[in-house]
Amino acid sequence: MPGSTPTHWYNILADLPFELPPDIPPPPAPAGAADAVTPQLPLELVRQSMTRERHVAIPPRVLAKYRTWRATPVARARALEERIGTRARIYYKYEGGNASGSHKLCTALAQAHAYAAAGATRLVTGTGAGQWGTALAVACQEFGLDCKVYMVAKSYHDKPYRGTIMRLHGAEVVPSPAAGRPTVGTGVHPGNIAYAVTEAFADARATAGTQLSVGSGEAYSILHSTVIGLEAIEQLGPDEQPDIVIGALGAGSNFGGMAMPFVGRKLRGEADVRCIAVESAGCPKLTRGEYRYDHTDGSGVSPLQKMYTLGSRFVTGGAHVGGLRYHACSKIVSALHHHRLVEALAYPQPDVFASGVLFSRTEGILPAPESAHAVHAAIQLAKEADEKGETPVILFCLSGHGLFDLSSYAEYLDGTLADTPVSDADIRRSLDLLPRLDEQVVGR
Amino acid sequence: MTAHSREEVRTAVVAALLATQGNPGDPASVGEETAIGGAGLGISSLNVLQALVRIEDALGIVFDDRAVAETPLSSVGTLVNLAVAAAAEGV
Repeated sequence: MPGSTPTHWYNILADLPFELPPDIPPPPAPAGAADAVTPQLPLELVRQSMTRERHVAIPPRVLAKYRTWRATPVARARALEERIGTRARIYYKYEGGNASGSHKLCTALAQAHAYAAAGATRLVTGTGAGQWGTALAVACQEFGLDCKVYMVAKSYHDKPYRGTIMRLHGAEVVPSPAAGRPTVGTGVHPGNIAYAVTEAFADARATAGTQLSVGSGEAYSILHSTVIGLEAIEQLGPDEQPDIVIGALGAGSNFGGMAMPFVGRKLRGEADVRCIAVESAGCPKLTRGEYRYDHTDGSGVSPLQKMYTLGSRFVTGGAHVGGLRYHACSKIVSALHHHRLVEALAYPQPDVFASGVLFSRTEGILPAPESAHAVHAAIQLAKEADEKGETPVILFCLSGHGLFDLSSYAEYLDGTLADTPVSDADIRRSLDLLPRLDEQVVGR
Repeated sequence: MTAHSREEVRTAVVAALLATQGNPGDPASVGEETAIGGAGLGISSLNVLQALVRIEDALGIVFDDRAVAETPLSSVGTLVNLAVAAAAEGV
């Protein structure tokens, strides 16, 4: 379905019927700390995070880049529908057709543009499966910035070509933590996104001209990704608007980018639509986490945000869990879930990979494992609708291709892909490490 | 061109900075020499940036992003100077 590139992002904050819980600043600086503060973000990204304007203009240089691959296609998955025998109409919006191979380029370009305008010369970041690191490498190349990516060690070693594509786009890539680096207590930290971001942040603080850029979860990264949902609304047209909208949930930009324009229509009374975030059963923050204050990284010194979380010390162990390892969920998506305006589902990874393979064999696109979570949800919800005699229109975000994830698919095909369920005790142990701050904030 | 006296700008800057902390204390006790971080107001860098956006809204100005990033934000007077410069630019 053809479509046009939006000239504005959609800002869900304009339509929220409630106030988001305030962030809690990091601990006071120790005695003797410098009286001067050093901004860690471009002011432009802060403006975009605070504005209540419904439509935020996309900077011309970013829009020009968007137009090199957007609007991305929306297609009906007829072969998949036929294979599973559903009467539901399933559509997907494919975000893998750009240099980075995923939806992450939407915010990477906007962030690199903002950091370059503010005078940064180098960006650093943490990445899990590698989609975000790749997108930032591409974006930094576009705007003349150096780039260094701290990649979760398991992904770094399992997906060597992810590192190669980042290096092709000019980035330096290192595993996080570096091989053999000891951590307190248990030998070697297995790595997670929070840890990688912490290492990147330390780099940024130690290197002149360097800033930390993060790929998902922050209000501005969701804002930048809303071109996905905005395009889909136009492409599907007034007579085929979805009853169900699905996106995979890491921290929020994938799901939020697709769903927020639809949630906005729901909040304004323009549409009745279910928006469903799909997470990995190996990192189930929305479905099994708690809504409370936590750090956004593993440093313990970042601002505290109220969000669904498994605890910033939560580690997914050896599970692949797609790129959905982040311990928490964006405060915006969390608040929407808390107010029952969006739903959440979690699936184990063998089921998710099975649906990824089925999608590849029917529609001809191998989904990234993250995206396969959305594929799986679409199939399950179509089957549920069939059992009820319903014929919904289902739309999901096929957020990226899985051509860098063949080692994981090979494990699935070989029958060696691990399913590592998370116990309640694991979650409890991680959550018990968090400070109890809610009463203090309510008292403000 | 947005015309504001330096005192009007200082009042807006102090109000925005104190708002990031839930408005504790007396605005009159905050002078241009008061430090923003450390032992002064003790405000984090993110909260300072949020205060700058509130100052933009209050005064109808737009800060230069590069100037903000490159200026050591040491005292209230630093922010007043940035705001006065932005107002003079008429942006």
